Amino acid sequence: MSEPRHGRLGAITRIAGWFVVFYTIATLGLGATIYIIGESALREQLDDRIAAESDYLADIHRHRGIVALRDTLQRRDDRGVNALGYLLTDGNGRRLGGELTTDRPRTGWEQIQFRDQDGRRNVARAFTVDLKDGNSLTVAMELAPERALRRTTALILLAGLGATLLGGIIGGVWLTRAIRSRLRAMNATAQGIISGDMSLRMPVSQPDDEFGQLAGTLNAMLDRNSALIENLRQVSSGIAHDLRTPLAKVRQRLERMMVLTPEEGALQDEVERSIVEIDATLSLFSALLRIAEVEAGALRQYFRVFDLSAAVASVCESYAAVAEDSDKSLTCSIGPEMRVLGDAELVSQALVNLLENAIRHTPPRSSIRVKLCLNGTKVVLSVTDDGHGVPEHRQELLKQRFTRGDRSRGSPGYGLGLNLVEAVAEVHGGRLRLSDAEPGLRVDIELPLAERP
Amino acid sequence: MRILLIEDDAEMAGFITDGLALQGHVTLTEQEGRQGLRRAQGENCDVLIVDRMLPDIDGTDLVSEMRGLGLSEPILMLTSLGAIEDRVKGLGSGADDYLVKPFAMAELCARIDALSRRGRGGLGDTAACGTIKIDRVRRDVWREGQRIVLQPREFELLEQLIRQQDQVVSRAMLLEQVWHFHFDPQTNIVETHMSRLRQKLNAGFERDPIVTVRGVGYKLRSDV
Repeated sequence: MSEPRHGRLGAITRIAGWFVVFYTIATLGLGATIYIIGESALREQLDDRIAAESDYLADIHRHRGIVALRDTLQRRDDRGVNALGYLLTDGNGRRLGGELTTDRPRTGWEQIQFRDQDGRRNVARAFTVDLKDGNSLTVAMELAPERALRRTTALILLAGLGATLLGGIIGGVWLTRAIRSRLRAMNATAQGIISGDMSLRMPVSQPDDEFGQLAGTLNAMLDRNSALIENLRQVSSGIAHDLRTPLAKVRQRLERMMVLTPEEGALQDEVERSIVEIDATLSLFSALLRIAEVEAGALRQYFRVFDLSAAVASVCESYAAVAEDSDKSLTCSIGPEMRVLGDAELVSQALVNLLENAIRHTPPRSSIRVKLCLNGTKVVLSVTDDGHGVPEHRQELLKQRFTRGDRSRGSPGYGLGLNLVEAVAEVHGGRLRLSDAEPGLRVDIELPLAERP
Repeated sequence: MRILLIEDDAEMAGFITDGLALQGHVTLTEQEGRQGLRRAQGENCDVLIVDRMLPDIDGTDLVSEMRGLGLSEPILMLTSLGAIEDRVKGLGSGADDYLVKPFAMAELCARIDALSRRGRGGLGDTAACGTIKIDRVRRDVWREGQRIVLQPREFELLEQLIRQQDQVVSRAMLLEQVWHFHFDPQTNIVETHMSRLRQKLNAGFERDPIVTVRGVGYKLRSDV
């Protein structure tokens, strides 16, 4: 699987990142809502308590008078059982009862400052009511516990948010890795299939999950494609194979005719020409069957590590003479001991096809160069000529079956040479490349180097 | 030679029998594999020709059984399956040679001759054919005592011709034996190297010991 380039996030990481961002925003929203509702409920509860206490004390004043109220305030302050503070003042603001130390509060609700027993300034929520006799009663409740509770709540919410965020990030990373590893396995399989191993299938670890279902669907599609390709192969191979039998019998009869009519010179010539034609047709079928066999990939089971340098040197040595007889020169530059996993004869046949193409389709006195060199973990076998070359738009077409260059239409052949070379390159896990040699054509077969034992 | 042919196609069997008769060989024919196996055990044959696709048994299984029973006669397998894998399986079963249909009768005869001579001892360090002598270790060649310098492929060609002297060696056989090619190149690679070998062998001599057998291959004569 191709990893995202440095400095760029992959799609899965981006999705996981956005997931964490939205998750955090949602958590923050939820935390803020809880905080606001909590604070409001807390304030309401506080106000209710102050109001209830104020009503109770006003009742005492209404029914039992100022003295009873002052005594009640005194008892409450002495007990100190709650966080409430009291202040009873006359119309001039003079203290009549209660121990709350603060400036004279205004009637109604307000936030006041008061001094505690240690002289420290504190904040309290206060409700002041005007009594019928012109006095004022203030009931206040310290806000410090409420603020401590609010801080604790905020801390709990922040800790929860942190834990949630951390969980989200860890979950996101885990999710990213899990998805990426599943996708990497699928991608590796797809790359293997592209390289020509049609037997590979997507890994299915959990058939019931979405990845398992996707892999299952893809595998079903691959099975269908394989069946169609195999069917097509069988039909084309079947035609090629089944046509051989009647042609073989015709050939036998023609040979027998030659034996039976040794004196008929003209007839012998005709029969001989017919045999040549039949042999040419049979060799076309053989070539088609061989391409089909190579493409099927079953030959991989016979692959061995072999010395490509020696195989190329051997073919070049043989074809130097053939090129010379055609008034062309063949030169070779072969790197030593390049070992590949494959079939030496198949690779030799691919090279023979390339050399024969170069010898047949170049003008007299052309130069043909064979080079075998290393390119990283690949071996590159190139055949370059300085002939007329092939226009770039026709180079890819030449790899197709029965496609021939404009300059080779008059020469023998069926346009299967490069098709076979490409099949050989691909079954070895390599590829075929055509390029402009300026002048002439360059054909590269790129093969993976065998691992050292 | 006495040759046992196990072939279910009567027309093909007739064609082979007639062709071999023209070369002076006697052919015994069987159409079924099991019957052919019994005949091979009972008759004394020089060469066995086994078709790959028989009605009662696969030719490769039949050859494996023959080898398992200790039959050591040279076996040529005939097949219409020309795939690489089929050839590997055919030769792996114990067949000595493998010929894909259709074939020229001369090709079949050349291969049978080569098979019948196989096992009569290979070439030693030195070998000879008529006036030509070769040293296989030092890769030296002489004709009537005159040293001839050959390229490696030319030497290997000559070595194969000496190994099968006075027999027709087909172009396909030379491609297999010298180049290890089991495919047919479009160019005349055999002819090119044979032509160069001839030029070097015949320089300063009147008679050419290599005979071209039209449409089939070559023969190195020991009487030249």
